[in-house]
Order: sequence, then C-alpha cells, then structure tokens
Amino acid sequence: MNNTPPKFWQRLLKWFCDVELYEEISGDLDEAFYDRARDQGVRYAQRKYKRDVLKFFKPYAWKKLHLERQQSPLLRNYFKIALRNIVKYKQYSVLNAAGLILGMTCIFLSLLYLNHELGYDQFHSDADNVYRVQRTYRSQNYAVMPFKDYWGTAAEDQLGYLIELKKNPQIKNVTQFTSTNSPTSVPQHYIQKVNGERLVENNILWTNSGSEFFQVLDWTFLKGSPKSALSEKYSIVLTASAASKYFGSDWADDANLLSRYLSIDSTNYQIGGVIANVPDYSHVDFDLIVNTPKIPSWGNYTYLRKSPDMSESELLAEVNNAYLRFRPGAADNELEIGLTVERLPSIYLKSNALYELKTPGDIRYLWVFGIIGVIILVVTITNYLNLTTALYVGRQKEIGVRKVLGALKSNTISQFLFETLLIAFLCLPLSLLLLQFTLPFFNAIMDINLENKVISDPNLIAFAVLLPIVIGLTSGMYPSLVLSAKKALELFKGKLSNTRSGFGLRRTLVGFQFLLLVGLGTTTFFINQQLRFIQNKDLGYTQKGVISINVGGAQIYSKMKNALENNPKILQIGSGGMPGNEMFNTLTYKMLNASAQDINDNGTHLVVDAGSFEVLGIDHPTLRDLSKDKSSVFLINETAAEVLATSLQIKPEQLIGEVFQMEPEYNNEEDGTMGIHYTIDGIIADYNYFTLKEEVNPMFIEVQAKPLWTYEMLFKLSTDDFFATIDAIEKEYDKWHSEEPIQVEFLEQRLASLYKNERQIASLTVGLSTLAIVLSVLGLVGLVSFITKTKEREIGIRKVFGARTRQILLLLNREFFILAILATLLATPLSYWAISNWLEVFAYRITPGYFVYIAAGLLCVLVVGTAVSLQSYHAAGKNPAESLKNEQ
Amino acid sequence: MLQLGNLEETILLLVMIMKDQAYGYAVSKEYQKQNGKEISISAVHTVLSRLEKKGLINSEMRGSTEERGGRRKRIFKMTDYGIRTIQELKAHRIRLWDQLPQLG
Repeated sequence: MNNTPPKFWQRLLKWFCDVELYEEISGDLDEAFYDRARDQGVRYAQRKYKRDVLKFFKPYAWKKLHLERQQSPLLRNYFKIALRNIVKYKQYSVLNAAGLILGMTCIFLSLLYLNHELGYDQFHSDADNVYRVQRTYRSQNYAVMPFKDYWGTAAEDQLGYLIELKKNPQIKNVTQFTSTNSPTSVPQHYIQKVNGERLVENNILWTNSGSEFFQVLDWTFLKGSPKSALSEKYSIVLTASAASKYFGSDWADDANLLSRYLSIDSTNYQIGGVIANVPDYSHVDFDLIVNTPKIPSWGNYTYLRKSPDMSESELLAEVNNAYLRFRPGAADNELEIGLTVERLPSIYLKSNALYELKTPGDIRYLWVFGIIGVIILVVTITNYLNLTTALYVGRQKEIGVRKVLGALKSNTISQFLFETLLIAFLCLPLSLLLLQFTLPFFNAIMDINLENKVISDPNLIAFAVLLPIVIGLTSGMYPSLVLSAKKALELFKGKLSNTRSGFGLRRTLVGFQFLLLVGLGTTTFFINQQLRFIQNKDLGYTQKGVISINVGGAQIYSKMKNALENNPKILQIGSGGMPGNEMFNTLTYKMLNASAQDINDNGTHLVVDAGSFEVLGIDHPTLRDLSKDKSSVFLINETAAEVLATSLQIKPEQLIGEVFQMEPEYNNEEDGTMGIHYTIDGIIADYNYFTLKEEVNPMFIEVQAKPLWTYEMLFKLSTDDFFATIDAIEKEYDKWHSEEPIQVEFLEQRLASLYKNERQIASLTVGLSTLAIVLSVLGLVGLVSFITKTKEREIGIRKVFGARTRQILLLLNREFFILAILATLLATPLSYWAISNWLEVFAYRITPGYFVYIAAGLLCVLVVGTAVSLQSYHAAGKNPAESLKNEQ
Repeated sequence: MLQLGNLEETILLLVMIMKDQAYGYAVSKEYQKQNGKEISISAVHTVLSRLEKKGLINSEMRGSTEERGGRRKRIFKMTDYGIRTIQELKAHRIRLWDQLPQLG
C-alpha cells in the first residue's frame, strides 16, 4: 500500500482550493498525514486525510476571483512589454500593422457596400406594405403597365386601373407615374422659367395621381407638406437641387415660393413644395415631380400601399381581379399571362422586370463582395497569426521567467491576447482614416455614393469595435495557447518550434495563403482577359463615328436628311436600328405554312431605312432593289433562318420568297388575317444588336426605302471636326423641334455603358483581389524571412558539417516548394469553378487556359523562393562561428 | 470592546502561548493536547483566518519542510492590538468573577 496521501484527494483539494491558501492547507494536511501514519498507521492516516479534505470544502477555502490583486500593476506591465516588443521587432511590427490596417479597411469597404445595397428603399415609411404592380406578357416580366389605348388614352381613362384597385378597401393608396429615366418616356424636356428662360430637364417624374403619390412613397419635405403639395391639377414639387436650379440658391428664403410657377409646353405648373434630394439608395430617381392630368407616355409604373392585414397572396389575387375588371379582354388573350406584385424594398435587388427605372443591383455581386470580404478577413487573421507565432518564439525566455515568478497558464494567455488586441485596436483608427481616404475613389469606380457610416451608424460602429476584437482574439489564441502550455523548463531550454513533421497549423496557414495567391491571381487574370475580349470583339458593324439623335417623326426626318446630306463631314444618314440595347420585348412569329406548334416567341423586329445599314456598314444585295420599285425589303438573320427553315424542313436558302407571319395570334379585324405577313427577301449575317451577354436571337429587319415612322436618326460622321458637325446637326434639329431638346448618343459610349455593371464589379474584384494578394505576399515574405532568421543556427551547424551554400538553399526552399505545388493543385479547380460561373453571364466568352494556372503556381514559388533565398543566402554565407555564437 | 467567541478566544490564547510555532496543524495538535478534545484542521484554519481579519494576529509564510513537500507554513503571531485585547478580556473576566462571593 502506498504510504503517501491519497492522490485523488490531493488533486481534488488542488482543484477546489484557492491558490492563495493552497500551500498552507495542503502542507498542513500532508504533515498531519505523516504524523498520523507514524502514530496510528497508514490506513488511519489516509482516512483522516480524506475527511480533512472534505471538511475544507467550505466557502473560506474555495477558489476566488483575485481581481484587485492583478489588475493595475499587471496590465501596466503587459502594456510596457507589448510596446517594447513592437519596437524590438520593428520591421515585422510594421508589416503586421500594415497588413491589419489594409485588411480592416477592405472589410469596412465591403461592409459599407453590402449595407448600402441591402438597404434600398427602406426609408419609405412602412415600406414592407408598399408594392409595385408588374405584368407578365408573353414570356417576359414588365415593370410597366400600359394604358388602355397607349399614347392615345384620354386623361380620365389613364386612371382606369387605379380606380378598379381602389374599390378594395384593403388597398389604401394607389399611384402611377413615369419618368424621363424610363425607356417608355422621352428622355428630356424643356422647362421654362417665369422670365422666359428655357432649361433642359432630364430627370422628371410625371404623375397624374399626385396627392396619392405621397401616401405611397415618402419623401422629406423642406417646404410645403405631403397632403397639399400636388393637390393642384398642374403642380410641381421640386427637389432641393432643382429649386436651386430654377429659383436660385436662396430659394429657402423665398417666402412666396409656393405661389410661383414654371411652365412646360405653354402650361403653367404651380410649385407645390420642395423635398430633399432623392438619396442614392432609392430605385427611382428624379429632380422634380410634375403632376399633370395626362401622363405623357404609353404606360406607367403602378404602385400601391396595402393595409397590413392583407396578405401578399390576397393582394396578388385582388390585383389580377381588378385588372380583369379594367380590361375584360385580357382573360381571352393568351399572351397576357397575369400580373405580379413586387415588394418595394426588394425591387432593387430582386427585380428581373424589363423597363426598370434604374439599373437594378445584382444579388450575385453582393455574394462576390461578401466572399471577398471574408477572404480578406481570413487572410488578415492568417498573416497576423503566422507572424505573431513566429515572433513569440523569441520570447520563450520571458515567458519562462514569468512562469517561475508565479504566472499561471491563464495569465500567459491573457498577456498575449492583450498584446494582439492592443495592436489590433491601435490599427483601428488608422484603418478608419484610410477608409475615409479611399472612399471617394471607391465611389468613383462603382458609381455609387457611400458615406462613411462606420462612424455614424450605431450598428456599424458596433461592428467596427467588434472587428479588432475578433481579429485580436482569433490571431492571439493559437500562439498563446501553444506557448502557455509549455512548462517553464522547456521554455528555458529554448526549444524552438521545429515543426519538422506533421501538418501543423502554421504549415496549413502558409499553404492556405499560397492557395489564395494562385486562386485570386488567376481569377483576376481571367476577368481582365474577358473584359478586353468584350471590348475588342467585332460586333458585325461599325462603331467609330456613329451617333444617334431623337427625331420627331418621319416627315421631319426627311426634311433634316435633305438639309444635312450635303455636309461633307456627314458620311451617312439613316433611320432606326441603333444597336447597343439591353434586350427589349420580343415577338412571336412563324412561317405562314408552318404548323401552329412551330410558334416561337424570341424574335426582334426592327424597322430601318437603307441609310441605317449604310451608317452601320452592313451590306446586303437586296438593298439595291429598294431604289427600284420595291418600297421595303424584309430581311431575316442567319439565326432566324435556321429556326424557320427547320420548321418547314427545307434549307435556309429556300426561305427566300416564302411568306413569314409575325404575331400569328393577332387577329387583324379588317381583313380577317392572323398576324402580319411579310415575304422574306433575304438572309443577312448575324450581328450583335444586343449585348454580348446574349446569343444572337432571331431578328427580322424591315428595310424601308422611305421610313413611314421613326424616332431615331443615325449619322456616320467623319472624325475631322467631329463636334463642329454635331453642332450643325443640332442647329438643324432646333429648326424643327420646339418642345424637346436634342439628345445625342455616341454608339461607342452606349455600347460601353451596357457592360457598366460587369466592368464595375470586375474592377472591384480585381482591386480587392490584388489587395488580398498583396496582403498574402506581405505576410508570406515576413513569415519566411523570420523563419529563415531563426534557422541561422541550423544553417551554421550544417556548414560546419560541410554543407555547401547551394544545398542549404535547396533544403530551405524545399518545404515551400511542396506547399506551393499542393496549393496550386487545390486552387486550380476552385478558381476554374468561380471564373466559369462569372463567364456564364456572357454568351460570348473566353476559354480559361490551363497554362495560366501553372504559371501562377510557378510565380508563387518564385516569389517565395526569392524571399527565402535572399535571407538564407545571407545566413548561408555567414561564418558559422558567427551564427553559432549567439545563444538564441 | 471586542467580543470574541469561545473558540476564538481559546485559539487566540494558544497562538500567544505557542509563540513562533503557531500554524494551522500545530495549533490543532496543541488544542487537543490542552483540551483533550479533537478539533479539525479546517476549523482551526477558519478561526485563525477570522482572527487575522479582525486584526488580532498577523501571519507570515515561513519554514518549508521536507515532510510538507517543500511547502511553507502560515505562522501566526499576536499583534499589539491582539495582546491588548486579550489582556482586556482577561481583566474584564476577572472583574466579573470578583463580584461573586468567593468560590473556594
């Protein structure tokens, strides 16, 4: 039998006993044990020992929180030591700090962007009960509701659908409007001030339900009130910037502002109020709201506010019922699929409707941002962790001394956590400063208006404080746990963390950074490649020098054409067919002799004159026929020819001369025919009328000798005196138009703006990826150089044993080489998957080449290899006596 | 004047008697020797701690021995205040006893 005190009970005592009292209590019990064992036997002594331990289990002896004793002096010591270490390892501290600051700033940027995109339209009161009515016609979803008779609808009839909607008491308010930003309306209008001065306005919201408008959508009023603002039949509400534009920057001091007026098309509109400028996180933007009895458009955007006790499905049913009451014919129309409703706050991100008021956000891009933000966070923490762990190796003696002096494991852990937290928090204000500087550039690239809400919004402030805590804690955890677990003796012996075997955390992290380098590097490269491809691809027509303007009808077009034909700098003039559009509504079609099953609905119908083709540099032999007796020529593109030929089971060439039927469901009341019939005159080569995001769809182009109607006039101009020529065109335009100002569009610009979204996201991804790469490289280089430094002794010993410099370099590089290969193998499929996903947006895309991945991997190895070799060359060249001299 | 419990007073006296040797286990042994009754070490520790809190005794960690596995003992000594208090107590007790008819 053991003649020592029972072990379990000893340990039990140690577990519950307060550290301050443990020594004396356990000493006493041990002494008593040996006394009793001597006097009355071991068994007795052990029994009494157990009882004594139990008896000591009272509050007096329990472990206590020793707060007062440790706080102030110990924290001060931690602080001092932390600062000393920062200074001692200057370069690494700077590297660490740089990484932290950059990382945190990027995370804040991602956060601000996400916060902005997700919060559109939330500022309207009770936005969750505001809905927009949308229409599904054919196979597409439209944000626009047409008036019964389109342009020709009488003012009273325009309100028809609204009246039907309001019959349901659960639908509280309804309004309809359109905007110059909408493709359904003219883009610009003249507005005349009292003094007769005419100004061009291109940001107008037209409504005929003014007072209800403010019940559905909420704006901040600076002058006037929502109830009365648009109560007049002809009234206007200005935004602050519009008020300055028309009434001077001192409009606020004008007490009589609400009795003034502006005139549009010779009608006076009373100023009903002034609201704050529309914030940029609103899906509808305008500078003034014009209330007029008849909206100048063929359709409108309908919004309503429902009462909270009406469910969305009830609303949907009611909206459709009201529509059937308003348009009884719709029930029989196969093309009218039905109406849907979209909740206001989700319009910006979720809407897939055509004719949106503002380019909608893409929720996929938010994912990109979120993921990149997380990647950067991980990289930042990884770097910090790696570097800190490496640095702690040099502080083993310090920790050993602390342990001897009585530091507990928990003390060591809290010391290191304190240090990492301290540095993280020191970097926070610098990061916020950097954020302030980079925000304007970010806003410029993304065409967005982010404010530094990190310092104003309480939610974001909380995040800003949480971030360094998270970074500090996660980065500090591993090294502090590793070091605090070691016994004091081990630490004094100076056992360096020589992870020779096994996949330690450090190796994994280094490998992970390699992975990021290769993955992000290649993805960035391919994104760039695709964008350049888009820009340089031949679209099938001329872009240079092509412009278009709006024109008020076929007659004015003819007159202007005659007048401008003789200008030597104007090379070609045409009507209609300006490419560079987002996909617009498609038509149904089939060959007349094909069966009813062969109806497709993806056709685009264009009406142009021969001049338009000349402007665009497209040629076709049938165009010669136009000048003879033929008044129009009907062409189809190759894609259409394929589809139609298959339906009749003939060869495409045989389609010429056959009859084609557009919109076969349309019943032409006059002569009983179904649809509109055309004879196919020719097949033209495919060209990209729409964006490269879509495959070329079947196109049906009606080329008229003299256009019967037109709204678009095209010019091909010589590059000499380009702008002078445009001036001449404008002068001619003004002779024939008085109500609408001219709008000149450059084809190259128009095409570029189609990919605006993609380009923005691409430049951002590239930017942030580059940053993540830079951070990774920084971290790796710092880590590698430190590791190499700590291996100085090893190198010295190897030299003593006869190793050559070359062999030493190889040895050190080998480990990183293996990691780099592994990382490349892992990164390749991941990056390939990511880039393939993005490329799916484009119908025309590059094929990512495999060699890029290999090159990236090699580059990686090269970078790290250089860092390692530079450092170790220095160490390898050193006299071994020197390197071994220092007892590290 | 400070009130002391019976046990507290006893232990305080023992500390004074034991001079430099008064620590938990030793006091419990002495108590048993003097009173014939056993007392648990934990009870002694508790009382000593209380007496220290009241300022009647002081303590110091000293004297580690092999038997204790190198651990030191908490040795208690009387403070001046403690000495005065115990003397007052004694005087007070005697005053009371003196008021009774002589007990043989």
